[in-house]
Amino acid sequence: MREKALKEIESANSLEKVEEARVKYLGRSGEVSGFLRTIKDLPVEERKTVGPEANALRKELEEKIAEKKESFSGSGKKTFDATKPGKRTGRGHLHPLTIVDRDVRRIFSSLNFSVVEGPEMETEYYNFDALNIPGDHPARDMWDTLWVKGSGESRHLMRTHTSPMQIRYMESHKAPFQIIVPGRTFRYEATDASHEINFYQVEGLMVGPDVTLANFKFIVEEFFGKFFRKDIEFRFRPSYFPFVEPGVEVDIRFGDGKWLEVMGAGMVHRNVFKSVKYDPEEVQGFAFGMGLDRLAMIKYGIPDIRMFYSGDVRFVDQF
Amino acid sequence: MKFSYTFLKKLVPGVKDKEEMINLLTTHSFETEDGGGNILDMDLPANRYSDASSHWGVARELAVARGGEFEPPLRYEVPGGKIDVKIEDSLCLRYTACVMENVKVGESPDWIKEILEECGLRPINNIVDVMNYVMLETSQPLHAFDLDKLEGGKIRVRRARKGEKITTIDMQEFDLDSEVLVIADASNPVAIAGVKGGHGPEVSGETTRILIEAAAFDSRQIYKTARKIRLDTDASNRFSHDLSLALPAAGLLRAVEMVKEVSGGARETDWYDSLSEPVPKRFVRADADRIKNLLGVEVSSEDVEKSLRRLGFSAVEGEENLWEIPVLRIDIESGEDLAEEIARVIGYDKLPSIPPKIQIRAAEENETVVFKEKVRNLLVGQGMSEIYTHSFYAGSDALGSEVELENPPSEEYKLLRESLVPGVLKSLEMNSKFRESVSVFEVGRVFWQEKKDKRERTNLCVALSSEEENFFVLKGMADSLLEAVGLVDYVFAEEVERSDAPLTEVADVHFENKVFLESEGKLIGYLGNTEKEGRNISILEVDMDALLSLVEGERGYRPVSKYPSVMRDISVLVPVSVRIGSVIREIQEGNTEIIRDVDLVDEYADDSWNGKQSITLRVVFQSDERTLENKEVDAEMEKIRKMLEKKFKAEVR
Repeated sequence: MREKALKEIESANSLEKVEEARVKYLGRSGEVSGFLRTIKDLPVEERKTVGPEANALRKELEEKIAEKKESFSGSGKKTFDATKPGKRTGRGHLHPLTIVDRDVRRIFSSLNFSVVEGPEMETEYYNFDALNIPGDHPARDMWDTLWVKGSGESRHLMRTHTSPMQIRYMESHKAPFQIIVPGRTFRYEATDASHEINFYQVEGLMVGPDVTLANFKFIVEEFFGKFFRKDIEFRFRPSYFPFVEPGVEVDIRFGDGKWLEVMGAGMVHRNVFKSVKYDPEEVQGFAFGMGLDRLAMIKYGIPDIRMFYSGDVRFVDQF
Repeated sequence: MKFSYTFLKKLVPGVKDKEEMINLLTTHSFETEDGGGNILDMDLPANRYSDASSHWGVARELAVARGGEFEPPLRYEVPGGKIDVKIEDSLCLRYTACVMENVKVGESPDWIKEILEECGLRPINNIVDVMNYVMLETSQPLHAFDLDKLEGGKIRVRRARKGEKITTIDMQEFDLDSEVLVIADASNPVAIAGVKGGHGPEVSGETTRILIEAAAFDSRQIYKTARKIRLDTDASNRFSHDLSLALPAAGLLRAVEMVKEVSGGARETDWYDSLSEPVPKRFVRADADRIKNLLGVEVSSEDVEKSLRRLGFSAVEGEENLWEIPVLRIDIESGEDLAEEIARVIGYDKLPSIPPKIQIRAAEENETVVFKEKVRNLLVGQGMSEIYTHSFYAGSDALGSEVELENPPSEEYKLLRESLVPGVLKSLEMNSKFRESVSVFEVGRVFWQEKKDKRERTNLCVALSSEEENFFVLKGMADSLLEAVGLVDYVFAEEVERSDAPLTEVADVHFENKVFLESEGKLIGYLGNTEKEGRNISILEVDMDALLSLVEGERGYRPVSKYPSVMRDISVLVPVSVRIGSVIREIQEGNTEIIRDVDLVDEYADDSWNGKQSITLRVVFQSDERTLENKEVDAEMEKIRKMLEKKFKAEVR
């Protein structure tokens, strides 16, 4: 039966002929199909040898028929279908905070700011004392601190802001300069949708002989305009941070939306200049700090800060 | 801090409504929010408690913000007297008191009760209520004692003695010690100084003679005490901040006036003031040029003058630009402070935006920042997703050299991570619930204790989790990554002599199979794998700081060979103990001139082979100078074969 069937398929000269052969051998009442149905009636021993052979034959014929069918050109042939979905190769994803950090660095670099980084574990001196925030003072309550265990001359802590880098940078550089300092910061905090024990800040510092608060206004308006690429209304209002004087807070709003607090800032306090041995009569400048998580949440509409640190790729892969 | 809209509106009637009040205060003074009802919630700056933790102070801010004026009716001269008061500790900076007789204790009038309640204070009786009300007016916390219940009619300000106790008005008992400052009568403490009054000599229905106290204390002392005994009161909150030494007098005089108003017939009979000299006047120079230089906007001297006058500054006659600072404004010290006052009055929104004039220099490119960005890009290009995890983990994740938090927010975050692995493993576990294969990486700081030092560095962790074997996938990715960042000379070794605490600790704890990444004699990372719940997990962790120090900055050009390469395969049977890595290295090192690459193309081991494995290696030969002849390559292969037989007991198949 095999020889006969193969010969018939081989000699078929049209699609119809091939189909005829298929029906004859493999159709519902075809010869091969019919034979396969009779196998179950054979003795067990015979079934074991005949069964696989018959199945192999069926498979061989199916392949031959498919091959033959394909050899005929014309209406029945499947043509190249370019509308099928593409095969995706995996794509990697940057974390949204990395993307936002990159945007921030790019914009400030274009404004001639240098990017520097500092340690996440700091000393009490750099995080507080040098920034005009004395110990045992309620001003420190603005920063709920995670303290590090251990003894030593200066107590260690997890930096509560990126501001310590103001001091470190000025200790080793001369004015004029302009820098930003992105990095992870920490607070002793009960976590919820808008609070995390670790989060990201970007510090900015511009110092020179005649850097003014009006210059600060220009820089932040320029920055936020480029960052959000939307029309933004700004509100500058008084605020208090021990390391600046005057101190301001920056709010932004899109259209008729709500005011959003986005930045604390001010003119560097003379005590801060003194602690890095700058002469406050010779130089002046502004400093600012903003939360990267908050910027990302506003930009992408992310409702919960905890998502950033969840390690969930379903979240990350959206960016 | 809570403020009463009703009270402020009474003081500055021109303000249209609550919304306008909130807006004026927020844009000119300090952040103010609607606390519901007639309550305003103000975020008072730490340096403004002296003048503005009071309705009179806020009323002035409000009036000035509207372009008007409000002068709080404060008086500062305490009459002389002879109340028996002794200050035995310098932490009490000033103590003033007044004795009043013929006092009738009863209920307060409604207008007082209303305002107290709006500010979250519970009305008690007319005397106590007046003390609180005057605090709301002036910022000065006050306390009234029943004079007849003060032993000996005496007041002693001293440190508590060991073993002394006090029960406060609200019947809480506190054990005291010498770190706590108290107000005492002839024998016992009657109040925790600056925090709360004691039960016993408080004003009650039968009281007819009172002693009103208005004092000033060292703010750090009160701050420490309130935290230590965990008692946060309206008084301790104000006293924890620096307050003007003039304030007690202002509060006391106003309180006496008010007691007479609510308790008809009461009269003052004696006084006390520990301060014999008036509080010194302070002055500041208002240099219009300096202010202009700081703000970046032209400010006329008329603007300066008008603003300062309305804030209560007074010009010193005969001195150019010299101003006397209002006695309660202890926050004002320098010209920058005045610049802020003027900017606030004018309004920050009136400030122009002016581009800075700077000399252009190439912005510094921090090499760590650039390096991290490069690594991230390479990994994302390999299909990895970047995750961020917490900088802390629980004691159960401890590896051995962690730095500990003194005040962990929870057990879950007790230790500073010394490796990124515990966090990354958690992420893999979570993601595995809905993904067949997970590939993630994290770049982040880790911390560890090295003898006495606490150290910190940046690590990179790359992780794969899937059902199929993935160790060599990651190893291949590691090679690509290291090559791409420019690490030229490195090995993955099974054994390391040195132990770098964080890296070897985590590798030992978490991974059954591992190789260590070494370069120039430095241990800079490891690659490990393990199985968890039917998943293969492979992880690469690298010390990024060390890696950065080892990579070569620039690449050099090497001519492309004009001559063809020749490939030969060799199959050998070697004992299973033979490490394929060593075989490849030996072949490579045999002739570095013409052997360009050696790769594993096949390996197989069968249990029935008596401890043998079959490996097939592909050797690529190429010369920069000539076309290699078959003869030469054959000879080289023969050398390789001999070497394998000798060194690895190989049987060539």
